[in-house]
Order: sequence, then C-alpha cells, then structure tokens
Amino acid sequence: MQKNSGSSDRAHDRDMNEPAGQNVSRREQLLALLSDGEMHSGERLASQLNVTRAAVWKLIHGLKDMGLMIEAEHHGYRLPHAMDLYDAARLRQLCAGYESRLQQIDCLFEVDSTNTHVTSHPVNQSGDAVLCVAEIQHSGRGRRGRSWVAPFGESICMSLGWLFDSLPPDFSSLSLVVGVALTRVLRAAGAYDVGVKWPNDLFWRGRKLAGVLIEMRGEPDGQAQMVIGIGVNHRLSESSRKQLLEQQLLVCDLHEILGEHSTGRNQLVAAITCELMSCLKQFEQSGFMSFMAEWQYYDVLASSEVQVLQGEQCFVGVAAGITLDGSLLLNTPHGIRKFNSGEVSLRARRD
Amino acid sequence: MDIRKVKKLIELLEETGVAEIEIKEGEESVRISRYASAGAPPVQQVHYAAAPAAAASVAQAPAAASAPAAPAARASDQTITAPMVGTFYAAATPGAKPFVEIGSTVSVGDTLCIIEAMKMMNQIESDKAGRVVSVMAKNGEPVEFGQPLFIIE
Repeated sequence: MQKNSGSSDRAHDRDMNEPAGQNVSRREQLLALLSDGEMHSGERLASQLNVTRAAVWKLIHGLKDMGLMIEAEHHGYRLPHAMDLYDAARLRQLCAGYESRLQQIDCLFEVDSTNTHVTSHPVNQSGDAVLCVAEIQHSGRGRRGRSWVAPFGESICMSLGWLFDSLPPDFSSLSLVVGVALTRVLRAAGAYDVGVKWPNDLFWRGRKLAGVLIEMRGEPDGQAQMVIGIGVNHRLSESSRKQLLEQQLLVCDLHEILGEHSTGRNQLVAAITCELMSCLKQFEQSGFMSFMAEWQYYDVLASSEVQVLQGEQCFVGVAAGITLDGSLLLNTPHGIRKFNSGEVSLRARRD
Repeated sequence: MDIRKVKKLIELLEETGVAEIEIKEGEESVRISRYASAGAPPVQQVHYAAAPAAAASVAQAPAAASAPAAPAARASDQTITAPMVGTFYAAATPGAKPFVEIGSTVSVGDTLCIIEAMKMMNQIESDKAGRVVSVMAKNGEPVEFGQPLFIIE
C-alpha cells in the first residue's frame, strides 16, 4: 500500500494538495538537500525550505523517527554518508532502450511492500512493465511470510510487474531466469564472485546478498500478471547486521564488495530493470533452455552437501544441478530426487 | 499414483456418499467404488491404464439405486485441480487464516490457495462459484499437476 508518494513520473500520482502532502514534500526536499552527506546548518536549511528553524528541527526529528541516522551537531545536520535518492525521471532516462516500455515508474519514500504496490497497479499491455522502488519498506515479504524489512537506504527494494499473454509451459523456471539476470548485473557492477543458490537467492562468498520473491496471478483468459520482487543489500547498518547475525543469517552488502565507488542505486535499479525486461522477453520466446547453461555456471551449490526442507520433511544429499524445467536435483543415498520447491541450505562442513 | 492421494479419495468417498469415483492422471487412472450395502467398507479397484489424455478428469458413475438421493444431487460437484506442480499452501502466510475452508462460499476469481514452485507464489483462483465442500490437499505438502484440490458445489 502506498503511504506517501515520492517521485513518480505520472503526475496524477502526486498528492501535493493536502497539508500532509506538503509536509511530505518538505521532508523530501530536506532529504534531497542532506543527500550529499555534507554538513548543513539549520539556518541555511530553513531558508532553503522557506520554513522556520523550529520547523527544520521538527522535520529532522520526523526523519530520525523513521530510522534515519542524522548526525546533529551545533553546526547543523548531516547524513552519515551521501545517498543516491531514487528519482523517477532519472530512472526512466537510465533505462535507455526500454523507457517507452515502462508503463509507470513509482519511487516511493516508504511503502509496506513494493510487491503489493505493483500488484495493485497491473500492467496493461504485454511487453510493458511497471517499476516500483522504495526508500523504506515496512513489511516487505520474503518467502512464506518471512519479512524483508528495509530501513532507510540500507537495501534496494524494487518490484517489476510484467504481463504474460500466455504462460509458457515451464513458467516456474522464470524464477531461475530472474537469478541469472540479477547475477549478470551484479557481476557487471564489479561483484564478480556473485552466484546463485537454487532457485534464485544471490550469494557472495557464502553470504546472502540478494533475494527474490515472485508472485503471480493467472487471468481467466490465459494472461498472467507477474510481480518480481527483488531485495539487494546495499549498505547495511551495524544494528541490522547484528540483528541478522542473531538470526544466524550470514549476509553481505554491495558496499563491502564494491567500496565507495559502488554503482549508484538509480543506476543499479535501471540496469536490473533493463536486464530483467530483456530476459523476460527472451524467456517468452525461447523458454528456460537458453538460460540453463548460464544458470549452472553461476550455481553455488553444485556438488555440495545440502539439505532440502519440504514441509516437515528434510532430505539430505549432494546438489547435482537442475533439470530442463529448473527443478533441483539431489543425489541422495536412495537415488536422485527432484525438487521444485523447498528450502535448500548448505550442510555444515564436518572438517 | 501417490498412495496418499488414493487414501484421500477413499476418505472423500466416505465423506460424501458418492458411489464411485474415477481419476485419470496422465497414463494412470484409479477408480474407487463402494458397494451399495450399508456398512460395507469401501472397496478399491486400482488399475493402471494407458490413457493418452494429460488433463485430469473426475468422472462419477450414477449412484446405485439403493443409495440415498444425496449422491445424485452431488453429481454437480465441481473439482478444482492443481494447474501446476508445487507445494500447496492454504493460507497466505504460515499461521494465517486459510483462504477457504469447508463451508466457505466462494465467487469466481476468489483466491483458493497458493501453489509454490521454485519460490514463485502462484495464487490459484476459483473459476467456479459456490460452497467449498471438500479441501483435498494438505497445507505445506507437494501436489501434482491435475491433483484435485477442492470440491465446490
């Protein structure tokens, strides 16, 4: 559900007329001023926003309440580091070659879940896409109700809506195609060791970098709306890392892989969007076959001892690649088993 | 065919009083029928036949003459089958209320369940309107293509 509209390239999405809308726009203007990561005096901010210093103080506290780390000193205010805020017009420009196929780009300041937002804004024409990104995601969804909460600026939360005129018979393997598209983009950005864990989690040196959740709904006429939700760890705070570690989740983020020179978020989202649109098109035309070898090249589980949790059952074996329809093959003591769903994890090494 | 599925069918037969049920799935088919005599346990005849049709179908033989009138009325039972292979989920999230339960009234387009394959959540919508009289798949368990999931009357 959309809470506050950020930048959107469809004018009617803005809600500037309400008083709350004005506060929202002030808050976003303030954030835009702070986004360079430099120190800004309260006085100067007040004059730039055309409000009192007390109003600036209030806005700053509003942002802090939303989880933003804003350092306040007697000189003024600053963010701990520069931020590349999402900008719909810039995203469209960066999606060169695909810009005319983007039905809608919504850059939200905060949202419950980008997937829910895109679900309520279906794609009208096959070949087109709807893109949504959010600075803050309150109740993003992982698989089966697990949450993917994204505090401000720590992750890239995006969803892409896509319409299939008719579903290819092996449409489930689309899940693996999304993994291929993401791996391509992140490797091209410099994260060379990124690989994919069946079906489409992205891992870097044994730690999780990105996750995908696809939701779909078939229409009676054979069309299907697909919403591809992607979360990439961008720059996790110490407290987020600690929380994840407490849940025994090993994670990494783009910032530690790529350093200060990492690609900006607008650029990365645009690159992922274009790659996805190109892969979806190819998948529609030639199916999973044309992605299979590449997926296997990125496979981080191949030949490792893994366990697969399926419902209340647990299977143990050696990961033996995938089938033509994208199912996972497991070499177990009782023969080869095929899985099209289940939670796969590496077994702890005994050495 | 999975033995659990056969068991489910037997249970269904007992619950509804349907005299006979036949399911075809790919090259396999199973027919389960009960004798009209009251109290007799359902007898199952399982035979595998080469059936070229890939689509699943549920055929119901007319109720035996001595059976109560109800089964005949149930001839309009409509089965919703799994459109894909995957894991069946009755609710949106673990612990949440199921989308539908026995007795729920559904309209065309209502979500009945989610089938997950390869982390793709597929919302299965009802293409029929009516009342759910049977839920034949168990939450969190794998389902096959064409496996009966719900009966809506």
